[in-house]
Amino acid sequence: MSIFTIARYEITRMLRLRSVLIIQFALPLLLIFILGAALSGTFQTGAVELKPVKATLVTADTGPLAEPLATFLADPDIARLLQVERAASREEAVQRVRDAASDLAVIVPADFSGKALEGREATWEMVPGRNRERSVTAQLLLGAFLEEINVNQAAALTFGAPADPALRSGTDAASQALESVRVGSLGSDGAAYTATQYYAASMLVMFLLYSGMSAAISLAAEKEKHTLQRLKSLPVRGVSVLLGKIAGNSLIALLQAAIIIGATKLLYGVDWGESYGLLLLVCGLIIIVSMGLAVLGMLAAGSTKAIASVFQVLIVTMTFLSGGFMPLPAGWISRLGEWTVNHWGMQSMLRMMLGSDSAVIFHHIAMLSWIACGTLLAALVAYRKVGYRE
Amino acid sequence: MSLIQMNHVVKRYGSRVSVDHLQLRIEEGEVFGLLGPNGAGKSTTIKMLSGLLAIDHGEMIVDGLSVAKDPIGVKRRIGLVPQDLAIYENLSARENVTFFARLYGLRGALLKERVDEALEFVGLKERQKEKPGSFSGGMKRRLNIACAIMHHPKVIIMDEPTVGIDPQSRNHILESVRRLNEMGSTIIYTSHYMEEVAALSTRIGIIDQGRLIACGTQEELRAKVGKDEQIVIRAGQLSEPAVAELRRHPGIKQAIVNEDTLELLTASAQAYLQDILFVLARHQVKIQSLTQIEPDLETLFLSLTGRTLRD
Repeated sequence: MSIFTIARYEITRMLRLRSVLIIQFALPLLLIFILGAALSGTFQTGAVELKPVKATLVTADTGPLAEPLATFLADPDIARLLQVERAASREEAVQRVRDAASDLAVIVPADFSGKALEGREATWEMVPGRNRERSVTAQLLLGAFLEEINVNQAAALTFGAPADPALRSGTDAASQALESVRVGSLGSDGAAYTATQYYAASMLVMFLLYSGMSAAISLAAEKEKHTLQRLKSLPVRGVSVLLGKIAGNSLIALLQAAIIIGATKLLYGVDWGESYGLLLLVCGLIIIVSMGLAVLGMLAAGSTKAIASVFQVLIVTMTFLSGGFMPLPAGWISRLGEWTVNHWGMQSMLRMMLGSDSAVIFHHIAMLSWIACGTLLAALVAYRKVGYRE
Repeated sequence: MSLIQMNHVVKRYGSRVSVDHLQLRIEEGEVFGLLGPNGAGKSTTIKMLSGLLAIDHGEMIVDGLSVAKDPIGVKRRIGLVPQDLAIYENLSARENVTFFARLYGLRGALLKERVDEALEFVGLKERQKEKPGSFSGGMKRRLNIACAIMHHPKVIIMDEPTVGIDPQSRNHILESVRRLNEMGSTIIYTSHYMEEVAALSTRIGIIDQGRLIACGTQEELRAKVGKDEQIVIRAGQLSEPAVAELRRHPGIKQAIVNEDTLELLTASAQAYLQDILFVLARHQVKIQSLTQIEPDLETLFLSLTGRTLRD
């Protein structure tokens, strides 16, 4: 009963704090709107009309791949986008790029066919022009030929088909050899999230962690304002004070999650997926982590100011590493992000939004559960060792 | 059987002994004043009695219940008014009292009645809906008291409840203590203000360096001082040789220097005043004022410890 009373008054007191109302309720909605609107271009998934680009080709290769290349460039779909002019020397091609007469200079070495057919590394030299977008478009179009060569070469070697005919005749022979390989396009079903969806998920996780900061500050303030001494002098078990305050803050965090989910759905049209039960479970697990961190933070950092600083750094760092501020390219930073609660929380939500396979969703939720168990256990051990007292 | 018993209570902080084998009995209906300088061990004793600190050795019993074995039972019988204000700034006065009353287990009509009574008692009924932020220091202190008395505790512990407030609020609080006692509560009142303790208490315990150095009624304590008298001299420049010579005088029991004030404890001020003035004149000490003080608790503390309560 005392836990209920403490929780009830904790909610009353917290909801009267203007800072809590702003940080936990108003700011997330504002940030989701701003980031969603400002960075919507980054998440654009619709068809883009490509403009034709120009490339200057210098080829000294007269080997078996010279003909497939000419066939590739003559293909109407490619020719519509890539206008190729031939030059006699590298210098001439580079000069055309400098003069902006061409978007890309491509130099094919004499030993290209030989190396490629022997399975050795074979490359083209590409000199980009001033217009980065047009250069990249030209590189991508020509890169498609190189990728096709690679695929055909690998398929021929793997399935035992003679390399030469497969390569000489371009894609036809390769297609015969690749009957057991299905080539598809990832995401071809059109399932992709919008910027607002992305930031709704990332901000929800981030601000649920901020509710842990509010809880930690509230726990530490009881010490600083000496009200903990009075609470401990009452006929109430010591742990009830802590549990009551944690329960109160957890309920506020749940309310915060409900408001963010509801408001973003109504105001910004965010589709949170079909499984609201699982979404509630994910929010619950993040709140457990958040409250575990609150107990650890309160016991480790003495003052409310120190707690606020530690939490700010921790939450912002974890949000950044998990790609919560902007999607990060694959690399060591994103691998580091996999060690954060934000990553698993956000990815669980995004998977639900995309209607992913339930096995994938449950894998993310399982990881989140492990993090929640670990944080809870650490908080329990720390509380038993240090205790909550003035 | 005494309402409160403390038997050989010890509390250590590392190697420092804060409370040293404290033995004390407090009877039901008493106002017991616990007097001592800052750091004497008063607050530590209070915290142990309230179940806020673990007792290292010995035992404390309240109304037949051991503080160590049944802390919840003891806490139901106690109302603690802590030295520091322990109220929530963003709850109204009424909400503050109601919150703590609920945690004492009060519910329904009884809760409302007791909260009204406590607010009325401390004179905050008219301002019950206001938050403490708009209160004066004295009003906050009174609210601090209201939060500890609404459950009609058998024992009310007040730890320096008048620190830093105006004389009017202090009088209000002292009057409240008397009325609470008349209503049946046993009061333990700690302070380093001798006058407050002397004015309120039926019995007084003097504590210093964790030890109870004297305990009894004011009359009993005065008798311990005997007929010793205190002379306080304010002088421009007190020279060390003059003080040393006075300390060697057979008629002077204690000589304490506090900046420009010399406090002397003597068996007879009349008999030795001339000697004192002669010594000071010989050392060219210019006297600004001289006061003879009747024996009181301060005199007793001085004679027992060689220090003043303000040290």
